[in-house]
Amino acid sequence: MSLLTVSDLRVHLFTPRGLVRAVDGVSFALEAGRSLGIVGESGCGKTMTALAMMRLIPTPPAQIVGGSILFDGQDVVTMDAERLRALRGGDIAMIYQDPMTTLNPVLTVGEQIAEAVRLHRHDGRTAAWARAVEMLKLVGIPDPARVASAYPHQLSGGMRQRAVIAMALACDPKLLIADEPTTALDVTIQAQILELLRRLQGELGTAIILITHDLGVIADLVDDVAVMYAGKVVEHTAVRTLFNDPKHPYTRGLLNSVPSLETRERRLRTIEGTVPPAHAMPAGCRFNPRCGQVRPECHDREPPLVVLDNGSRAACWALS
Amino acid sequence: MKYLMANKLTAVGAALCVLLIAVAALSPWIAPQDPLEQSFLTANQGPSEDHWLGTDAFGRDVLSRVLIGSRVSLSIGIIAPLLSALFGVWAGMIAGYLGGWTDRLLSRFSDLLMSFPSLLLGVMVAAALGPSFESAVIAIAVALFPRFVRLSRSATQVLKREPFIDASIASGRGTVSIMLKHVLPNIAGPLVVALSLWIATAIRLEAALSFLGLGAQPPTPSWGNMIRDGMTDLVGDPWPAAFAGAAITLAVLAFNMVGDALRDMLDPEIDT
Repeated sequence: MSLLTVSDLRVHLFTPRGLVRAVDGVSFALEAGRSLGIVGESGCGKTMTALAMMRLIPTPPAQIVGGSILFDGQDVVTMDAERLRALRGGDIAMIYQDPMTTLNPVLTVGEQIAEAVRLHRHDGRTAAWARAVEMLKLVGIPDPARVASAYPHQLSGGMRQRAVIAMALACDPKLLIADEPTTALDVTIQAQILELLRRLQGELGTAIILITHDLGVIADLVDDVAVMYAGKVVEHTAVRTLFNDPKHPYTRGLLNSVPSLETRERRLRTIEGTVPPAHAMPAGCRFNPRCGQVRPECHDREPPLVVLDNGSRAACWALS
Repeated sequence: MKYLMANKLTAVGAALCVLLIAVAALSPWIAPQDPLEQSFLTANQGPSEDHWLGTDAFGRDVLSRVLIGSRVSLSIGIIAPLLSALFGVWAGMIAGYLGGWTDRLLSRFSDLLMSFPSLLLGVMVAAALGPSFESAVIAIAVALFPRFVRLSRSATQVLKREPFIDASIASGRGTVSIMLKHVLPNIAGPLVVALSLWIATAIRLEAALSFLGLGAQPPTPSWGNMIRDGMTDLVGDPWPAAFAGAAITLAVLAFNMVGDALRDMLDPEIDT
């Protein structure tokens, strides 16, 4: 059995301007110790999907209206509040984009990590503090005993993100959800943090879901990739296949827009057009207004996710 | 160096506050005479060697009455805002954090209280409960309650958008625990400032209530009822009212100085 099985997840946003299907029938599975990247542009539903894993969807306006999220055999969607609190931070941990604001400014780094440990492992104060120092050491912070007594503003951005990762991993979660963990960091620090995540995944065997819009980041870190467009998974494949043999026109467009050092071009290449407004999605395939290979059926019916001959799964009429 | 001036003010203000509280606590021992002892022989005198600040219409020593009176005035002035903060801060945090109907209910209730001037509200509550020390405390606490609710509600609302609040929900923390551990320490700064400023307000309110006969009852001296007694013969013997008034001014000034200085220290945006 997979660690995490998401089937037909639907998250709707009830806005004054109408219903927005932010996540519309997303399914995927993740084995223990594996990693999955979810990529897509802003507003494609990747963050909503990630938040749904811990039922952190901001309600209202958003609500999980269908589907199931089986984590270790238990459905997160219908879980009671007590079990949910144990799940959050205990079984599934999350790291956010901006380490500057995800730490409480009035508590020391050590206190914050120790608090999380006490909450889920029911350790005593001394044991929890020792664990905090141990975790800071594990994430490669020099002089962890001193840093544990430091306040967040006394640390640099990279150090803070390390501390956030230490806090997330302090309770031995089975799954780590990282929502754009490197976007707010300098490029050199980005590489260090990715390297750290990769090392920790190897050492601790934590499964990772990485949310990003940066294809370079997923290439470095994950085993599989799900590409999302307008609330749907359009292609789900191994990371190698994604770069070597992308199938869906949207995926190909995305990869095409990555600037290359080998060719000289005056303009950056883009995918023509923009994502249609969320409350006015076209009928049929949602990518059809921007697609170069549009067919008559694309306007009528939504394409299902089907397995292709290279092992990828993609949702496109032109491929099936 | 920038805060040198503010620090000096803080030091002076804090020293004054400590002095006032110490005097109030020690007043039974340092008061030169019995504040309740009447003597028609010495009634309505100005300051003299025997009575440094003069005597009132009953011949009671004004200095002793001001000193003993500070106990009532300061204890009401400090207890009432603390009591008010205890309830108001929680109500505001709950309203700000939970939002929705809880917020609407609590906010409308505090708006209702806010729509009365605090003195009027205090008078209403004190009159309803009957004049006594306790009812003055409750009256002032009720009058200050909506201010604490508003302040802590708005501070909580701003704080609630901080990602570390989301992060602590994501780490499995319960609502009460988040309020205690993450919200309260972060909004404590402005609340402490408000508390010290509103202690000054409460001292004024207490004086007003006592002046109206709704505070501590005679013969117990308080600054407010000393002014009230002194009013009967303000021209012939202005001393009791004048010195009680001066004491109120001094106490209000001291707590305001501390409050202002704290605000300047906690808010680097305001340059003094």
